Amino acid sequence: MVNAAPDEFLDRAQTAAEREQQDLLQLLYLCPVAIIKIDSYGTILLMNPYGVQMLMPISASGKLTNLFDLFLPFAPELGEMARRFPSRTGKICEEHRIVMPAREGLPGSAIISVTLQKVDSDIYVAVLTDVTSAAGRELYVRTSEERLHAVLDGVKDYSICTVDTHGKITSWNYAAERLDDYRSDEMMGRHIDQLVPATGTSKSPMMRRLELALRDGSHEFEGWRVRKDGKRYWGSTAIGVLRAKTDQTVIGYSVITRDLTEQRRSEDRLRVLAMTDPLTGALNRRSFFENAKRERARLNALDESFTVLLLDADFFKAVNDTHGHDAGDATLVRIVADCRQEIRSSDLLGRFGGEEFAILLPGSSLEIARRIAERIRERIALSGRESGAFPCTVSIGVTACASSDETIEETINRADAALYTAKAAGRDCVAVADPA
Amino acid sequence: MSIEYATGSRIGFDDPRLGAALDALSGTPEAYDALDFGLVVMDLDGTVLYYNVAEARLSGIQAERVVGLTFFSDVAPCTNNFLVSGRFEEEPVLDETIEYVFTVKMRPKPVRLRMLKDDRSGRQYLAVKW
Repeated sequence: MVNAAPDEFLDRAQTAAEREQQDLLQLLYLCPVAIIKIDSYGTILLMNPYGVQMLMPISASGKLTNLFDLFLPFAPELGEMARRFPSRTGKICEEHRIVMPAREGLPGSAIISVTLQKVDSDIYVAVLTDVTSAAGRELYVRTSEERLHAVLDGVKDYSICTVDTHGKITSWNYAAERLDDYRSDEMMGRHIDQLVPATGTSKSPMMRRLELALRDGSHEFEGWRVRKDGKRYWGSTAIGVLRAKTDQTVIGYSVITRDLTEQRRSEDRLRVLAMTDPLTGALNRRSFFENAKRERARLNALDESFTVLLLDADFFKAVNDTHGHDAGDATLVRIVADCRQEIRSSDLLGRFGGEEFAILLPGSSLEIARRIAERIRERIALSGRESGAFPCTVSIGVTACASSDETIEETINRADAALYTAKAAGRDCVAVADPA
Repeated sequence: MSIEYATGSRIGFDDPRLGAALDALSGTPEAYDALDFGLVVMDLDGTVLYYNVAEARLSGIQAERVVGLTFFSDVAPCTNNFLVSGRFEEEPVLDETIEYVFTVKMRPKPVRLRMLKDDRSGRQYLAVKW
């Protein structure tokens, strides 16, 4: 280089400077934001090609001479802000968003973000970015967040909350405020255990559920929830595991509880309807046998005995024939009501169809059963003589479960035989069949 | 084909048969350098095949820097919108002249652009009248 001729050296220097300038230009040319230098009137002095790309579509004249004029229809404030800016230098606006009109054939409006900097008394630099997609994303995030909130707050029967890994509540929805009676600010940071009945042990009942959810991915259960006012509701709860989007670490749980009280009530109603005799409310034959079998198994396991009473209304056909079916129905209802007066709620009372009834008394001796049967017979005989009632008595056969009885039917058959004996003995009496 | 067309000396920016004339010169691309307007020759993907002398001089960009690049995105991002690149992409046959703005060393310069394309020729042209 030392020996290079001066001309040649100059050429090389020029070439180097040109190359540098080309590199600089290339940078500005390919910069994915619009860079525009203007004077205080908005006259465009310099701009990079991206600026042209962005602004040509909004230029009505097909020319790009004045930036403020260009934006006048959509953002008249731009020129105004520049004119009113008091200092010689400084930032006039930063990421000021301008909504461009929707173009024919293109979906939605473009959104341009403008940053305007005053670099000298008559020199401004504007940086324009097309943020349409970013704004669209923000809008999407915002609307979907709002939508989610609307959904969360709109659901009436679902109490929705989130808890951290220790079971401390981190969010609480509107329905939860209604269902559980606690306000959001009361529950934040409180332990989820507060919402379920105490178990009496030191072990946290809900932590066990959360552990199960973690182990299985999710966990569902039904149980009582305790409201702030102490009242309970029966809820179905689903627990989900919340993980961090980035590294999948567990950050907490979602606890969604649905108030099943209403549903449970109607389900209970249905169950009762399916199990009982609609006229008297006593168990129907099928249901009596099902329950009796279950009781028998339970009592056998406890090595306890039970007794069975079989009742039949005496001359019931005569009541129907003389006073009509309504009188017959009323009599059956009276018999059941009288029976209930003499037995416990845990005893089983069933209608076997017609005018025959069965009673199962768990844990009672044959002698106690006989006495109860006697009281029932007496009560029915007495109530039949009251005014408005239709006189009707009952005959009752009583027996106890024998160890030799293979099934509940064998026990009931023996009671039936005793009932036959009572009928044969003149009715309105009790007969006992001792299995021993 | 006339001699004038073969050398390119008489081919004008507003020539009604400009597209066909340019196609005819595809075998001797140096002839594009004789044109008195800027010319960018591209394939249908927008890759620059030839950047004539007039265009290099007017834009201040050397031809060897741009040949092989995608014109609309890498060379002249100012044309990468629905007014110019969008037209080339959408329309199989195109011959339209529009008022436009190019930047020369960051200075906006009004230009006339003639967009020429015929799918069957396999190439497209952007003629620039400065």
